[in-house]
Amino acid sequence: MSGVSVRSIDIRVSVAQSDVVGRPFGRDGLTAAMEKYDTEAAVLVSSLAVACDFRRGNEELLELIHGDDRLFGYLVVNPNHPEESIQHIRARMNSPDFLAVALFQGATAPYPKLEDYRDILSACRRFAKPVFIETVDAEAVAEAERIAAEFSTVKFIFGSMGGPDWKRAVNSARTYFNVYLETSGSYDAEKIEEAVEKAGAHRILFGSGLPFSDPASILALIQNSNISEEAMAKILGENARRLFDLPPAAPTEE
Amino acid sequence: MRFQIIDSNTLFGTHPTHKLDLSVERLLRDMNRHKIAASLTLSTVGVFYGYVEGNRETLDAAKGNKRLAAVATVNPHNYFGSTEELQDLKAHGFRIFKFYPGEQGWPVDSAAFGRVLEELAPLNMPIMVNAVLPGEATGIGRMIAGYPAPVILCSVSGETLGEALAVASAAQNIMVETHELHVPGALKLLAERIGAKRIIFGSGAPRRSVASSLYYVLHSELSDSEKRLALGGNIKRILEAA
Repeated sequence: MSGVSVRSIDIRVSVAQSDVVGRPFGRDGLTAAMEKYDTEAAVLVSSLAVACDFRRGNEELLELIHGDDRLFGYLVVNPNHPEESIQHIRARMNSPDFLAVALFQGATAPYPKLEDYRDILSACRRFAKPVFIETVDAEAVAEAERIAAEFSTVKFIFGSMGGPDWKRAVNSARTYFNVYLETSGSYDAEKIEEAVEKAGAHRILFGSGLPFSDPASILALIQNSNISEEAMAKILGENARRLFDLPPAAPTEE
Repeated sequence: MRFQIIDSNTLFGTHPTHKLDLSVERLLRDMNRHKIAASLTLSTVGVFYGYVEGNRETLDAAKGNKRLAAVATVNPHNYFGSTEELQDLKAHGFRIFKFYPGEQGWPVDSAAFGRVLEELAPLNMPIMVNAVLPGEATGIGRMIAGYPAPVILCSVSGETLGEALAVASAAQNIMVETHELHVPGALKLLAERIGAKRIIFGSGAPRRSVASSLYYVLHSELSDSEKRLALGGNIKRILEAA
């Protein structure tokens, strides 16, 4: 049975005051988890920005990641504040700290909808950076597909890859060449193998869901899947490096 | 450190809504791969179609392989039997029952479920109940008040952990199964609040990844002695006492 010690880039980590069981989870918690799971770099999203205040959350995230070459961020926008969201994108997305814009909320549905985000997404195009869309179920995937179809020159990461409806997300990635899948969301035994077979390993990116999910679980799922070492290396880091244009890995000390 | 691992949560058969290999052979392959000594299992027929046929299939599968422990099931809303029927299941070798309110569409506070519990109580029969949705663990806690044997809450997740903990804190016979728990720190919290003797490893295999469920426990902050209990010691003790 494989271990969980392969060096990885985790593209789904939330920044929160505390974890699910109430323990503090700030920089120290993040650093400890990255050491435990040998995480080379992490792309963070502010839980405050997702759940409540996108302005404060993004600013706090920037404070955390700026100057740390292992930490990067998603810029969360809010469709209830389209003009301010666009201002945020114009002000922040040239920075190397933010690797992608992230869509979590809907204004008219519990998931991001095309009509709510059309203007915001138009503003994203000039930055040539990917857009992360949270897709927790089949409905969210269907709507994210509409977004990917209309904005075909933008690369989209389907966060949580459809949750329990991951087969739907895999079909999306097979149909739309600008769709990538982030692995957190469910632990079905066939998920990774089927995604590699149908969408290709180059379209799958490791995300853990830390601190709401333990990286041990999703790493074990990936590393115990019946896929090639080459595919595993792509999923665990190479794809993220390419998609986000990150620098090559530093040589590891033996 | 090697542990004797017993998987308390597996199924075999055909899944009605997922195209998956849930064969006994696949289950045994997973067990071999992850060095799992024994698995508690039951037929999907018993969950999704009819418990009488399902229990028969489960017994046949367990008779064919000593590493499989048969789990009985009853759908309370289709149950018109008697204590003798349940006694008969025990006599055939079943040592634990499992209930599926969500899959079968009955509420956990159903009077029909209450009646089954009343009839199982004299048999001192341990039970497992899926508690997936918020509120279900609370309902189960109320229904099993005074129940004499262990009650294992299955499918507890990060979303329902606080509720399950509150319910388990109020009743010493309630235990928590792990296959949907991927929350950092949850197992240590359970060990501190209700004791490691009340944590039961389950994988949800073959649908869910055994590796994910197992590594979650192995990489947790539990001590080796606590892991030994959670990974097999606790469920072994329960089955031996039944």
